[in-house]
Amino acid sequence: MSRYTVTMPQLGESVTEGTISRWLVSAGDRVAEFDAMVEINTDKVDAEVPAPVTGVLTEILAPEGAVVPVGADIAVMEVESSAGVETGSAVAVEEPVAAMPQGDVPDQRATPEAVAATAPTPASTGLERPTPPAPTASSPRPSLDGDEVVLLTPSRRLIAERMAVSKATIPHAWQVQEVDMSGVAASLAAHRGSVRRQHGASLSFLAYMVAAAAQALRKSPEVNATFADDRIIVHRAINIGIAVGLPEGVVVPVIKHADQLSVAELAVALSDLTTRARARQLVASDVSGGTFTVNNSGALGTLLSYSVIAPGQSAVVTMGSVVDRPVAVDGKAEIRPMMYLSLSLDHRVMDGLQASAFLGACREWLEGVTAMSPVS
Amino acid sequence: MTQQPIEAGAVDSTVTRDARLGADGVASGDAPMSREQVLEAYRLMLQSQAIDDLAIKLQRLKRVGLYAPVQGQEAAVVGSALALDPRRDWLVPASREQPAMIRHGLPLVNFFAGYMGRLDSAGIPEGVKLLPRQQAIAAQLPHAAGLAWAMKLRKERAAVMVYCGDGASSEGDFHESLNLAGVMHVPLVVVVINNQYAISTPFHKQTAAQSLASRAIGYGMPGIAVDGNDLFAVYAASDDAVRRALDGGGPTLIECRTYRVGFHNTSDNPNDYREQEEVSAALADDPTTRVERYVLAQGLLSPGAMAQLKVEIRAELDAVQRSVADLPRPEADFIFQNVYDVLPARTEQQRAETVKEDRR
Ligand SMILES: Cc1ncc(C[n+]2csc(CCOP(=O)(O)OP(=O)(O)O)c2C)c(N)n1
Ligand SMILES: [Mg+2]
Repeated sequence: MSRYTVTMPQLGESVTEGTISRWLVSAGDRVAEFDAMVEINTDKVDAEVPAPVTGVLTEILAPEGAVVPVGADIAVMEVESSAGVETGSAVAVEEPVAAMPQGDVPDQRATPEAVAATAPTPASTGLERPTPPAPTASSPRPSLDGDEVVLLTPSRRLIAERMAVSKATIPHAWQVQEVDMSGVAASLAAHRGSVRRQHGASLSFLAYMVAAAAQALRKSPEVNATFADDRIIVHRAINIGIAVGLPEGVVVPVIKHADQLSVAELAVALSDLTTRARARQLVASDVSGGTFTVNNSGALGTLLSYSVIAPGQSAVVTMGSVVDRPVAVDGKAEIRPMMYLSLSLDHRVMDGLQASAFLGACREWLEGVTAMSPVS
Repeated sequence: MTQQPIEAGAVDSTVTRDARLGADGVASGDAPMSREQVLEAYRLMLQSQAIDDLAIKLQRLKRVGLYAPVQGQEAAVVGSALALDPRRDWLVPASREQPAMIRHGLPLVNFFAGYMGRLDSAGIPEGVKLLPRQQAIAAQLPHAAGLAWAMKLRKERAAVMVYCGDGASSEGDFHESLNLAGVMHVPLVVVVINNQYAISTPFHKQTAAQSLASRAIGYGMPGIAVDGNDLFAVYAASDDAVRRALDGGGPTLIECRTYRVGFHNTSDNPNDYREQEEVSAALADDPTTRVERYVLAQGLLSPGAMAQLKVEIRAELDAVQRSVADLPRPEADFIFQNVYDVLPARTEQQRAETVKEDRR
């Protein structure tokens, strides 16, 4: 008997970590080399990873949902023969070398060895999707006529887990301020063409918002922090995650050191990340390291949205739709492009005071923009 | 000047034989292949499926670097390759024609050694008329056109078969090679495996034309579009083309219409860009299953012998894979071999540094 440690495989060249999306065997189960063992989900591929050797799975080290770096230990197996584990040669006899499709019956001409070798499981092609688990008996609602059961995709499952963790552990609070976007709109109109020509990127409200948030985070570093049980870690790096909605689920690529970029440079970074997100070409480093998030739910007409904070961060700012509204200016009603700016905050990390200061700083930065302000 | 519209799907079909193997496994027209050939094709198709399965598992265990499965394209690849005589003809693959390479004489050990990084053992043996897999899209086409031209200049009676994908048809190399092949009237058979995708780019975004075979008109060569999941149709078209090439009839373009059932390669997640229904529909018409039904209906194999064949194929691959795992990995300076006869000074310096770095 010998111990064999199963590690996180590198499933693609640029892949640095993987999420354990589902264990297909439990501790104590016997598995044969190449039997499907665990489903792993990376930013590139979702793969069924087979058992590397034949033996008994004695311990699962990385539970479902765990994000594990490539090469880290994920499980322990007990291998019957210690010889040849590296090359797998000693386990050859135990492994079903092949299997017939169900329904095929070998006739007398098949050798006994061959028949024995076909036991016990049908071979998987490795290309099939894993069989979905049957809905469990504890389904919360009885099924109604016409119901459709939609199984979670790995990305949906990941979002579900992260959202549940966030809402269960972070005491969210919420604040809203209203911003007059006239100056930003004027700047946008003045610079859109030149930014497109010079940088090949399209200038948007979002680029200004990221700039405003990055500068406000410099003034309110406590908003750019991680709550860690007995302490608060305030981050010096201002790495802003941008929520990008995709049909299969939201992804949040990160603009590193956003406070050091001009509005035009932010527009370039935004174009690059959103294009690659839509092409499903983001790599792990694109989506890691975020310290704060900007969510642009206004792009789809939403006025106010109570966003959920990403686990590990302390706040998320959400832009509402920019809408022409009558507002009182110097005692007179004027029509101005207005936007609600809302902040979800971790009340363990900060109070209303810091949150208001942060939102106020964002508002002042945005309202301070004019057509004459430099964007490059 | 009025323009003469060319019908989108129009092809100069030179298939004289009506040979078909339907989805139900029932053949119509004249069976173009002997019983032995059908069995050889069936075995190669099963082996291709088993290689896909094994190689993907090995990739997930990081024993294989990257793998692009054949799944769904077996009839197109095997049916065309079987029209060649490996002792006489040349085969120039793209990167998804595993069973064609093996059928043409690449030993299984060398084949797996390539995928498993045992590069010292991965070469093409002397005398095997096969070029290496080509990763750069369409770059094999100029080589193949040149090779076919060489056959003509040397007056060797040999055909060259080259593969490429629907994606490759949009590359400049495709145009240059087919144009030259047409002008020089060389013995080339271009097999375009139109599997509907170039990674995530679907066929309708690849070209506004409805057929790739119709391109042949512009190169002055016959163009044929066949059901790429039909072993008999692919074989008949390829056999005709090879004969024409040998008889001095010049090049042919064959478009095999099929479907890439698997992912583009092990780094790809096709669920991101196509619907599962589309894949399920393709799975329902598996080319190997067509042949399997035919083999059973014609009594070429008993169900038991068929089951045994599948076991043998897997056992052989497994044994090969294990023996390859025992082979040594290449030395660091392998990357500098097989390109230059004498290394240029700067490259020699890089080689020396690489070796030194590796020793540390
Ligand atoms: C010159 C070049 N450009 C891009 C790539 C990246 N690439 C690899 S495979 C592929 C798609 C090929 O599609 P197709 O020709 O239809 O072949 P298939 O993969 O479908 O067999 C691309 C774009 C490459 N390898 N070489
Ligand atoms: Mg293709």
